[in-house]
Amino acid sequence: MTLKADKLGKFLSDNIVTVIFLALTLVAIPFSRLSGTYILSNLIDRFARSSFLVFALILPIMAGMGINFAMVLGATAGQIGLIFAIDNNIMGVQGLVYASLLGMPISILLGWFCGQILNRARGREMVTGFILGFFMDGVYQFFGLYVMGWLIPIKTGQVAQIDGGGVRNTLGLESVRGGLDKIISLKIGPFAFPIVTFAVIALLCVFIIWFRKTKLGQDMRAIGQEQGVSHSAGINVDRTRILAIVISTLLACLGQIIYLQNMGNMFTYTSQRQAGYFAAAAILVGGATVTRATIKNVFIGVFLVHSLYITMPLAGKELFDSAMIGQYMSDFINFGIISLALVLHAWRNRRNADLARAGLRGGAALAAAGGDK
Amino acid sequence: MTKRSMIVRGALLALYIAVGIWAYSTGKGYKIFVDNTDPAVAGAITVAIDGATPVKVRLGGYTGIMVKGTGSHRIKIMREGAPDFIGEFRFPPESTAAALAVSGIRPGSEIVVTPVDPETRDR
Repeated sequence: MTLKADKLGKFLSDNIVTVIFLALTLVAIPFSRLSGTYILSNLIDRFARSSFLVFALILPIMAGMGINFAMVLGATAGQIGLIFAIDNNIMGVQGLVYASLLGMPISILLGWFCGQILNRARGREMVTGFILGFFMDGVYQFFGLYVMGWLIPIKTGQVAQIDGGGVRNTLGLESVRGGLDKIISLKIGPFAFPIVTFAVIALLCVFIIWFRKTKLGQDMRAIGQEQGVSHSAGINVDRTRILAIVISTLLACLGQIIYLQNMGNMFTYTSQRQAGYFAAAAILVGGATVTRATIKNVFIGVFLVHSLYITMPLAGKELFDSAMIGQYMSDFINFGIISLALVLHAWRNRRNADLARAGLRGGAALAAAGGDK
Repeated sequence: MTKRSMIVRGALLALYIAVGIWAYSTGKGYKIFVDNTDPAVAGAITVAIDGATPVKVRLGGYTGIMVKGTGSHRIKIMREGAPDFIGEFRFPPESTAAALAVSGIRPGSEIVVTPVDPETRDR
């Protein structure tokens, strides 16, 4: 009985974020009064939209750099690519390819820059990445509002602001909308499956599984475990950490393009920030920690977060007679989950350190009973 | 850097540029204004180009529709929900926008498409 209770306690302690989120979703579903078909068809669409973006966070976690909040830099690069694709009237999948080709070099450059800074802020990567995201917001706004239309001419009125200078606050992406999703769309009953988007996500999964087995992947895992030992073993720690961030930023760039082609419109100066918060919340809800993340965590997280996004506004309307409150609750829960995961991480670190100290003092039995590392 | 790695990197760069050129040239969008000003025709028409979502054009008005790439495009005109005309037209090269008058379409004859200035036409 005690063993069972211990096991349950350990399971809850390890998966508390996922369990809370699952409970909230299960409560919200009946209140929303939405049909299962509606929820499922929306989930399929949203799953295709966001999964790629969340995968961008796996490699930095693997390399011990925590949640890469600086993925916002990659998302920004993707948006810059899309702005040029729309301004040049490049349509369909070609528009997405064009945006990717323009965004990728920018994201690699920004990723390298970010990696350099994070190497100088060792141990404080997450907060540094977060602030870098804000810094990049300023640079991006300067680029979008002043450089575009002044140094770089804007060709179409669809992109330019009314006075001709700068990029509009909201851009319609009709010309590239569904560029990837609609290449092959399989309809089974009320559900539409964007086959090509799913194939791209599957390819990325295969890439991540393969990458973990490569020399570079093994190096990243070793660095994630212990940087000092990895350095002593001859691994170029700084270079490997920069590569983890560069790949993450590159994936964020492509993920943001996939995300926006599904949405069909872009909030020019805020969409990239939302992408960063969403991806962080999703991977944490999926059961990842700031030191461990797997493909399974991405899928569970995307599924749960979107379930809540779909049901919460309507559940809020039922419960509080205001859909707005449901929307606020979704946002509040999102940020709350990020905070909870970070607090839990700090708490576990402290508890493990206490247990290790107790073990050194001769309390080995206590350490064996309570240790979860 | 070895000669082999230089060749590989050069080939990758060339591929990168080639894909960019392909995306730009085949994906470039052009505007076609479909005119429905035929006095002999009563009512609105629905137009679908290259299998895209059909667009309604009211009687006496025109609608701008984006098409991907120059060259040949397939047009389907429907009246009261039933297909009235299906044919092909060529987008005039070297122009960014063109107009197509429904009144000028005669079964069996080539569809006439004339280049226009998109800025003045959009007003």
